[in-house]
Amino acid sequence: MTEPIEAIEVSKVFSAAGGARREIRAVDGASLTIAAGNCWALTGPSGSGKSTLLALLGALDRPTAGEIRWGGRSLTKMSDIGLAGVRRRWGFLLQAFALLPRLSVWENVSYPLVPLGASRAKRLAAARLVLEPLGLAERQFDRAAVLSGGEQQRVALARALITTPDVLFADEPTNQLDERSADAVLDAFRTLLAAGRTLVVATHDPRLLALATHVGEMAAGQLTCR
Amino acid sequence: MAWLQVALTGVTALRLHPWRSVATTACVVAALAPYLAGLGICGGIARESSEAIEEGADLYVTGMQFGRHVPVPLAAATELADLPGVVKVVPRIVGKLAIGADRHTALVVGMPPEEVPAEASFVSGELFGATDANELIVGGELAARLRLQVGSQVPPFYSNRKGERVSKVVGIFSPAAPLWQANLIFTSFDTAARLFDQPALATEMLVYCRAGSEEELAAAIRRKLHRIADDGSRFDVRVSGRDAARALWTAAAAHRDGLFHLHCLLAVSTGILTVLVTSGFGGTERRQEVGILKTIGWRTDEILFRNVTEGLLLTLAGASLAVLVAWLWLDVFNGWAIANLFVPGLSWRPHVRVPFALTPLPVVLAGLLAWVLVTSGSLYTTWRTAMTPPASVLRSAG
Repeated sequence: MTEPIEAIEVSKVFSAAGGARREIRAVDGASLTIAAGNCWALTGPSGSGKSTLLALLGALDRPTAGEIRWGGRSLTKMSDIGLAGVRRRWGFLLQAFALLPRLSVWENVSYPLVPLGASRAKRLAAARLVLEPLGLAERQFDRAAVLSGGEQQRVALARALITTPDVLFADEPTNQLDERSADAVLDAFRTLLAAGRTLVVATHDPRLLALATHVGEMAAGQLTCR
Repeated sequence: MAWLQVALTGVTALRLHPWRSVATTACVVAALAPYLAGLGICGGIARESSEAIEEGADLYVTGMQFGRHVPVPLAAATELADLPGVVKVVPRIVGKLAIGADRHTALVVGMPPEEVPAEASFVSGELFGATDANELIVGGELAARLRLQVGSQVPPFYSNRKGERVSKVVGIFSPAAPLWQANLIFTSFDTAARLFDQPALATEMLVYCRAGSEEELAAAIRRKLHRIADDGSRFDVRVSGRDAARALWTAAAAHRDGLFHLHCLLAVSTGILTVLVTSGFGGTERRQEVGILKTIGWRTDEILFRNVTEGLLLTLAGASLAVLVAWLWLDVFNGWAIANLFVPGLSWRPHVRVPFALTPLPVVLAGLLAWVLVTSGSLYTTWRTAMTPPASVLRSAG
């Protein structure tokens, strides 16, 4: 049975580096609540802490102070195994695609299904299902390394979507894409939101900002919600 | 099922880092092949020694003075032959001589030609005569070093009060003969006595007896040959059977094998360091891969299991290749540059057939060592990376 989709509650989260004397706060006391089914857009200039906050929200990093809760559980105090369980229910689209270049497209896309015990045939079928709407079904057996930047971005998106995540985090998902690829990504996001899923995206793209129900503006690590 | 799927991605992992896989496999082969070849030679020598002991005499009689082995008077052969239970007594001379301009050490064995063991069928040429005609059969290694052939004349290489003679090579052991013949000069008892200028002595008496009478006969021999001369000096004999020969061999083999194991342990330690270095090949790529897997929901134990599977596959590949290389080294290349470490007097490229026995135990042992080599190279670094938050890993991996 699928667990109900829960809100993400963030209270006074900090992410600092550099020690006490030269402390750099990439995220400086951010607080927000991301309700289920909402689309949050984090915007702000380069180096303002968007990606760092997104990584904290997506359980890819631990805050130096503050708390992030999801479904009544504190991600901040969660064990490594617990966090892996959370990540299995979430999807993350990284800015640098983060594909395994020597593997084929379908292998990259279906890697999240491996620890869930899906057989090769099931993984192949599932990969085809998510690659099709992104226009990449014909390239599923190509190596990831030979794809263009736009194609790699869509493969990374397909990988994030293959587990039908409760929450999708996307870092500058349309940044390096041409019009056609960006449209495909936007369509995928709309479908996700229509299914009641949550989307958190760091972006400057006005089309993505238009999609957002909430916008958080980052400046020098501080978040202002509007 | 999930673990099986995770394990299967170990195969994929080999593809992800082809150069690392090749380098690691090469390290495993480089560390294990000499080890396996060495153990194979140890096994071969042990087998030949065991066969020689089984085919040899029932009892070996040598003189004992000052706690050391000394020759036995030749006349003792007749006394021994008269003892009940004795089937045959063969006097034998075994000694060392230097031969050739480079003073190569040769082991001289002299015995009556009618008592020559079956291995003499491995001789090319003919057997020596019964007399002291200085007819020699020479071991393959020694013949190659001294460039001797059947029919070669050997200038006098010994000293005798009655004068020296030119010796004639009547036969040469073929490379297929057992290893003990490598640096041997095999000749008649009389010729050996002449070479050492010891006309009335044998270094030992080989006694063949009826089955089951060994112990009783050994005691009888000790009593029979015990002497106290007029000047009060005492002469005793040492009688040893197959068990004593086996024990002596086992002790010598254990010492040599122990030394070899020690050297291999050093080699494996070096191998671990080398594998650690080779695991550094594509280290950034590997860290990034771990970061990606964590990002998409893999647990640390699943990543480590995948790593162990990858290690097992590399182990299987490395150990199998090492076995193949060791076999080629011993069978096709006849233990070049390794047999001489085990058999004193062999050249780096032996001219005799080096015996070997690749048994399953060393192969399994090699597999385990290979697995230690491979996993020690990557498991810790993978675990450390997997325990770091994926965002930090991906940031540091660029």
